Amino acid sequence: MSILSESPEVEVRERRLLSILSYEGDAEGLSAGSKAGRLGCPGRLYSQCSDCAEGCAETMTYHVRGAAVVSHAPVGCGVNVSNHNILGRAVSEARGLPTHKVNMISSNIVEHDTIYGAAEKLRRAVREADRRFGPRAIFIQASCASGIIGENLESVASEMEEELGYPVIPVYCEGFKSKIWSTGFDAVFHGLLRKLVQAPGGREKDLVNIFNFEGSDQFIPFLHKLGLRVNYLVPLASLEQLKTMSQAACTAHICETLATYIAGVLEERFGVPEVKVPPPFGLNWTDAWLREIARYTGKEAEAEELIKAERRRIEEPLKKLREQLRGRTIYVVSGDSFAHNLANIYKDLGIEVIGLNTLHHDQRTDSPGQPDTLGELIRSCGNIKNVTVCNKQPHQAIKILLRLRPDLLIVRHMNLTTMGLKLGIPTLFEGDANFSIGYDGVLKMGQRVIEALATKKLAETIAGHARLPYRQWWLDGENPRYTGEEQ
Amino acid sequence: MAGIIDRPRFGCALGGALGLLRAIPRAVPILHAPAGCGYSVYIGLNAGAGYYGGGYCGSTSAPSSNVVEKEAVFGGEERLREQIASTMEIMDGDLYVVLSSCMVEMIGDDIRSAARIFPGVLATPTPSFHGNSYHGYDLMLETLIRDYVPEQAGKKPRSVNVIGLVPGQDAFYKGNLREIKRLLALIGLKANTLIGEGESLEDIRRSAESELTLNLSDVYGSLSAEAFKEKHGIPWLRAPLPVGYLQTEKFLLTVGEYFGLDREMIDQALQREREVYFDYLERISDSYNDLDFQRYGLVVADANYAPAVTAFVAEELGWLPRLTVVTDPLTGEQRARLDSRFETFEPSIKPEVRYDGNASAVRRHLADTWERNRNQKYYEALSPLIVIGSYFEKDLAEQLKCSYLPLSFPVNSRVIFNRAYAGLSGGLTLAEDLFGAIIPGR
Repeated sequence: MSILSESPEVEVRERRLLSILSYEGDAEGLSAGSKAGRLGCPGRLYSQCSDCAEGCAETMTYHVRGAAVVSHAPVGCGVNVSNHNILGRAVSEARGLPTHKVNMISSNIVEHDTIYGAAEKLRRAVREADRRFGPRAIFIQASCASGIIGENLESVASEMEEELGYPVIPVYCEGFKSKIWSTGFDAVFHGLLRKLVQAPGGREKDLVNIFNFEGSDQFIPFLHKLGLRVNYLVPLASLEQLKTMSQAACTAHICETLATYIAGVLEERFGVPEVKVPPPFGLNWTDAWLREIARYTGKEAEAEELIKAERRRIEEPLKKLREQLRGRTIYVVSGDSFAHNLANIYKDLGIEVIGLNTLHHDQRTDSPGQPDTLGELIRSCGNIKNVTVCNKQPHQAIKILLRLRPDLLIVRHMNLTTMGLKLGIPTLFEGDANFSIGYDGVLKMGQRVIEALATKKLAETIAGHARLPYRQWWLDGENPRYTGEEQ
Repeated sequence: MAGIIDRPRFGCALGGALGLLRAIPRAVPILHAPAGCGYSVYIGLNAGAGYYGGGYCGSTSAPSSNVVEKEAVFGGEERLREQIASTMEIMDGDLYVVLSSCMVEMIGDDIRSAARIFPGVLATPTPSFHGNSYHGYDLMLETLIRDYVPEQAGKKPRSVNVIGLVPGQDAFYKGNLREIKRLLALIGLKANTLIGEGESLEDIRRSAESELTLNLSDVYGSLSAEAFKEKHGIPWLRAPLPVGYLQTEKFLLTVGEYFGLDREMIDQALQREREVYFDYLERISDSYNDLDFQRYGLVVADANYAPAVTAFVAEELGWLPRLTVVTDPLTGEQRARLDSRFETFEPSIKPEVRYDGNASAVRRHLADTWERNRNQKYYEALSPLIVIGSYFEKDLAEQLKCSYLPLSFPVNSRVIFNRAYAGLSGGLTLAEDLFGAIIPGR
């Protein structure tokens, strides 16, 4: 069966990848259960808010250079736009790119529109985005409200595309459609594939697609060492970069959870091979990743040289870090594959991964050849005893942290680090997904761990005065189960 | 009012209600919403309000029914009842309030009837399509006043409730309330600001014993003021947020007049305040001219700050505010009320006032009101200029190569704890921040 969905929408992850949101056990149990596809996704009797597909979609769409976004939503869905603006500015500056400003208009769905429909308003918003920002492509983002009123984005987008003469791309990221927020990434990528990505006009043998989150440009100098160029996708990419991604020599990811859908389609439709090993986090994965990239770009000999040289270069400082960090324990909280990436770094630093929480878990990948990062992690580091899958849910995460008491907590998602500080656990935030890649990434991580451990006093001070909103029986009791029937 | 908006300067009604609950110690919200609403609204309001934080039970800790497609088809009230019950088992709160999102309102869930089964649990419908976060604050506060505040037989003389500053939108609400409380105490009034420093649910419960409700806003808080009046027989008075000495004096005279206080007494009370205030402010007279501290002003702010800040810079700093853009969606009546705030300005300092919330529209209004340089024989430039606005005006200030101070939502580039711009101490702080922003070479 084709990976590319023929319908305007891509299937949600719980059906496409059998994604789950709860598990408690060890890494091997999760791996075995996933291989058999027998883990279910029950609802919760008690839940705390998490993320939605729309929020994930905007981390991509807001940051496409030359494009504008119309959020077809009540005004509240757009409240985060100022944060994205600050992010776009900061990252453009860090990457030496022209300042990126988020060009967004909210169609401001109000009660009247929920009854009579809002298609005309959407057309007006698209025209206004065209007039104000002069974009060369417009994304129309769906919302819960547009989904419930059954707005036909498809026809408005086609109509407007004809009128404006450039791509108008519907993104079906209604928040209630999937329990797995990463479905929002798939929705953006599906839109790009349908409306923007062109058939290759040739092959650029030295160009590597890297699907990424908004972050620093660590990959660019890193692959430059092999004489390769990086096509950093999607945040801060130009429309031209997006259109021609089909011409790259191969596709790699910062995190398998982000982009297996589009990477699978690029291989299937346009013959762009996908790198089939985990991303370059930790020394052994970095070696393997470079070799795999080299295989697609004819740089095998250079890669072997580079690996040898890099390993030698970091030997001394790494030894020092190991001496300082040996025996420390860390707990990792992050999105599915990215948690595996982070966890694979610590063995190199002599730090024990005392536990791992992934915010969801895909039991399948989009194509059978894509790497099973959990299996790879077990092969690399052995079984990890305390593994949970949990979509944020601080009421559960806090109990685990209280039980395991790691020396350090590392978190990839915003607004969860507060759990660590309120419990007196020094906490590290992995906000820039690129920060810890490659050989230098291991060293940087070691240095950052040392700095973070020095915040012990801050964490203890905050914990000494913070009050947790949970009843004592909940904090004291054995982990009570608050999940409902299988769905 | 219902038009499209380029980069909104507020969240939804749900966000406003969450902002208020976050300001109340040990209040626990229960969202009946898809999973993303609570977090998305929080993350916007947090940074926009000067890094407000999730507090006791906000941010990712906020209980939420996380409804999905199944509930969209079959209804979500059963899931909500389950979530209310489990929240009360697990979460340790003194107040539980159910709030709703767009989606559950559109599928027809009735959160009030679901909440009614649980004694003491309140409910406030807060879909975004009903209004923005300023409105959500008002809806939430109205619910507390109608359904939570117990009726009181007698009133305590000279006690005043203070409302109209919106937590989560106004980054300075808490510092401002502290100053308002202090000012009212100067003339012998005891203020209950409901969500100020050291105040708790107990203060909210006791609010029915006040004699008067002071609404500090021309636009926000009207439902709540009316609820105090209807439910608890407390009349209300509009006395807009004062910034600086001149406005503070007027504010205290207005409130004093209501209580029939002697003008002389008020003036006496202000005597020491004047000494403190002008002892600081007059320092600037040594530098004002030497360092050329006069500025043209462009003010872009919400309905509480726009008139107050414009008047402050014009009347107390001698600046020339040429354009003020009020960024709320307003009714005709609200607009007329704000218009009247600008009518009292001397002609030489009276700004052009526009009403527009669109982030990219400010530049257009500026072009409309100030002639462009077209190589005329003589061109009077709008310079030196300061832009006083929100984070969205940063780009504009850079384009215009002028000074800039963000103070109206969103203020992502500042961290605000107990800072205040209200009243006398607030006026001095604002003057410090403004002069600080224009010191050459800074």
